[in-house]
Amino acid sequence: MKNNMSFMGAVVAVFVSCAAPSMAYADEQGKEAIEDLQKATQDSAQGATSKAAKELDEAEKHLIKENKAHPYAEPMKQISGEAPKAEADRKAFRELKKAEKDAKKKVAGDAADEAKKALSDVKEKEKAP
Amino acid sequence: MTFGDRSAELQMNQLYLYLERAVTTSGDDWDFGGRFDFMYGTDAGFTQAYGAPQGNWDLHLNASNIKFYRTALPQAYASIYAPIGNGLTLKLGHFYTIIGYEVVTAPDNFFYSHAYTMQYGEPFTHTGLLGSYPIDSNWTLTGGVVTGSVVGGWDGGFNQGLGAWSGIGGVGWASDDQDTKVNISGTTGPTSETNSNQWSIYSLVIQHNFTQDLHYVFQHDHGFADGASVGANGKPQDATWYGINNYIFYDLMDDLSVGLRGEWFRDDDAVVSSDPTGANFGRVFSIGRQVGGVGLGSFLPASSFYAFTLGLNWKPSKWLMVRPNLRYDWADGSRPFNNGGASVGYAGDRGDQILFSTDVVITF
Repeated sequence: MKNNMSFMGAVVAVFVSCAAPSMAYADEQGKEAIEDLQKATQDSAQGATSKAAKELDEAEKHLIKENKAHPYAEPMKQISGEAPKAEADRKAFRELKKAEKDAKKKVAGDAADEAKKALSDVKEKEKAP
Repeated sequence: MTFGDRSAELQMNQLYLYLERAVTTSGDDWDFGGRFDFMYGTDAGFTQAYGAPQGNWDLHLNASNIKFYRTALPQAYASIYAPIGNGLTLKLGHFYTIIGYEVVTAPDNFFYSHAYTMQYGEPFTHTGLLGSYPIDSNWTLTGGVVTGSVVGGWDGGFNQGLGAWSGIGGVGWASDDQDTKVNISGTTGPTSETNSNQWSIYSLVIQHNFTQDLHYVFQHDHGFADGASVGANGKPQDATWYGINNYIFYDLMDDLSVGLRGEWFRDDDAVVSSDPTGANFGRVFSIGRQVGGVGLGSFLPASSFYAFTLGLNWKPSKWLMVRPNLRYDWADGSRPFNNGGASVGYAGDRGDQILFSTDVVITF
């Protein structure tokens, strides 16, 4: 019985220790997404929409990498307040894609507004439990 | 129709409050939290936990002479995050169902009115244990056990029928960019402590963003209740019900969207026509919803029900949402409409109806 308990403890420890490096990598990806979105917001506002489109594309890739490095349980149904991280993530992708589309169409004002919203959503996601 | 069920009357559907400590979804530490939801209004009668015999969770919180306004406690659960693998989250207590697409909480639905599948063919809540685990960033597994119910683990309470346990589970897939989501979920188990007939349902929901402005949802439900209907020979027979819903939403502006829902719902074995006083029968059209006083209508023959709903969703500010909708319903095989607001047990005299309804949702 005691040996079984020790074995179980070791299995849990392996799981937990394996999770640690991926957490740091996920955090790094989240930070890089925020940086790209900040740049995209500024560049869109200044009319540099081609540059902003590339930054938005990079931000999206970082968000995807962050989720791959540290996935969260996607709720089967959306109930207000129950899954704040998933809710913010979904909004972030949506705004980010709108911004990217507008940046590619060279609609600078809308792209800047949407990039700003995406930035706010990503920050919300990073803060969410 | 349930929920918005009063004609030409102002209703306060939901005064909704919740207290929550959401648990973390990542990290190396254990985390503990929970949530408690309170609802007062005309929607509450449809979401209470009925169990059988009726439990004491939220059924008797109002005086019996109050006709439409009730109190429900649709969620009361403790949650635990265990840092195992990618992180396991557990809920223990009373919680909303994972089945289907539409939900009880008003701000989370596009339309004010609800689909037949949600109103009559799915559970609202469960009592038990539910776990969720992300296999990776695309796949999530959900599973658990539920009890306290007379209808296969649906809408159960805490203190009756605890000897019957049903399984609940689902698997969800989301694309990397969140543009496509597919969920399949279901419950299965004995009908109740005293009825070992199987009671099951599965629900498939597919959501896809064709563009960032054009969104589509497909839903298919299929329920099975062994021995829940009555055959021509007067003996119990297996019942089934199923439906298909299609939703399409288009964002006209940042704060204005238009949506269309088309639906078909089939009550293939006239479960609704079973004796509503028989606790083991008629749950497809919900013991809960029957006690709530309004149902699709009892003593109807096997029927198909159809509806198209056209609606707007206007969000002039973060705390305000307005949802007018125009709906046309029709049925073949029965005449369930225009029953004068009568309670279950009285069919109507029309095979179709047009309904305009609107609501205002204020979040604070």
